[in-house]
Amino acid sequence: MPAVPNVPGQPSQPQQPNPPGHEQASIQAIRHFGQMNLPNEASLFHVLPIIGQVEGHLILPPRNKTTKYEHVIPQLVAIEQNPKIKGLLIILNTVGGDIEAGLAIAEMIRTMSKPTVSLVLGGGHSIGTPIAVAADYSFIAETATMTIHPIRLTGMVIGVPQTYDYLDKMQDRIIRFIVDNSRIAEVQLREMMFRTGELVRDVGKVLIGEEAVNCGLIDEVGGLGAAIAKLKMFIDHPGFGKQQRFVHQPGYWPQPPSYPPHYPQVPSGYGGYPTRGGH
Amino acid sequence: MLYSIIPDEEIWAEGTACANFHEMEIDGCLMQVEPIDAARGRVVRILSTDPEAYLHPAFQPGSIVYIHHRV
Repeated sequence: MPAVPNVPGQPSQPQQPNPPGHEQASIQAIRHFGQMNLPNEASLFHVLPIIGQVEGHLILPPRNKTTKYEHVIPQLVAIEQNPKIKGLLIILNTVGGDIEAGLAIAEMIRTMSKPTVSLVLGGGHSIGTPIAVAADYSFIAETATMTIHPIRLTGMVIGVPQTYDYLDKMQDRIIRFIVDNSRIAEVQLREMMFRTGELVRDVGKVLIGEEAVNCGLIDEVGGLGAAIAKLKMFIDHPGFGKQQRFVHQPGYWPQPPSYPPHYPQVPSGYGGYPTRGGH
Repeated sequence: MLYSIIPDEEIWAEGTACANFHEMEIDGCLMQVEPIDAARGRVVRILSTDPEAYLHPAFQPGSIVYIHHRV
């Protein structure tokens, strides 16, 4: 049971650097286990690696490396509940995965009351993007990449218009989440998602390091040191992280003008690429 | 529904390697363990979010842990 300070009814313990029982307990541990205890400096924050595929409703074949939502979601609940843990560092090196699982993890991270910082290393592709932007502050390594591309569907399709609508709705869920939690504009995100000529046989865009920052998807280029420093800053100044998120809320940034459909010009940054929905 | 840069056919390809990994909590640390025999297992990876668990000498990937049997 975690020690809760100032619990009424319990004798207040004197604040000494070395409590008298401490040494005795260490000696006892040595006697019992023949091993020194590791320095019991509990980490201020926990780290959540999102690696490989995000595994959700379907179990993927064993050759896929996966991060399972049945592990991650209870861990996030435990981190939120544990008073000793002051923050969470999310490290992403993912190729994507299940949409619902990814969005569930992203929503859990977004709605945590504790400070969260994400760091994209290697790759934060597809569904890794909403997870990366869900944190209070996001970092991307200089060499890390993020692929923005539309959802694909393979296999037999029964009822094409319905499936198409469903796919469109799934796509909109992801876009809405990213736009709500980062500084990127919806038109720009959609334009990148359906851009041709960048991926060899596909539509989409690969953002490398600084490009992800320049388009507003990620907050800063940085590595482990910068991410931990930021998290410690958030821990030292409680509430700052969530304040930071305030600027990410839609409506804070000037929204691009909504043009009537017959308007001859396309908004700047749109590029005139054929995209659906939204603007 | 998957949203991934890896093509579907590659994700769902049946591999020959059949990993026999078990998830278990040993000394309060959730980890993936490959059983060697009834009592022992080899640490594959730590699933816990506690960064201290990754520094624990007994939990390094590849090290042998004793599986606690609970009645």
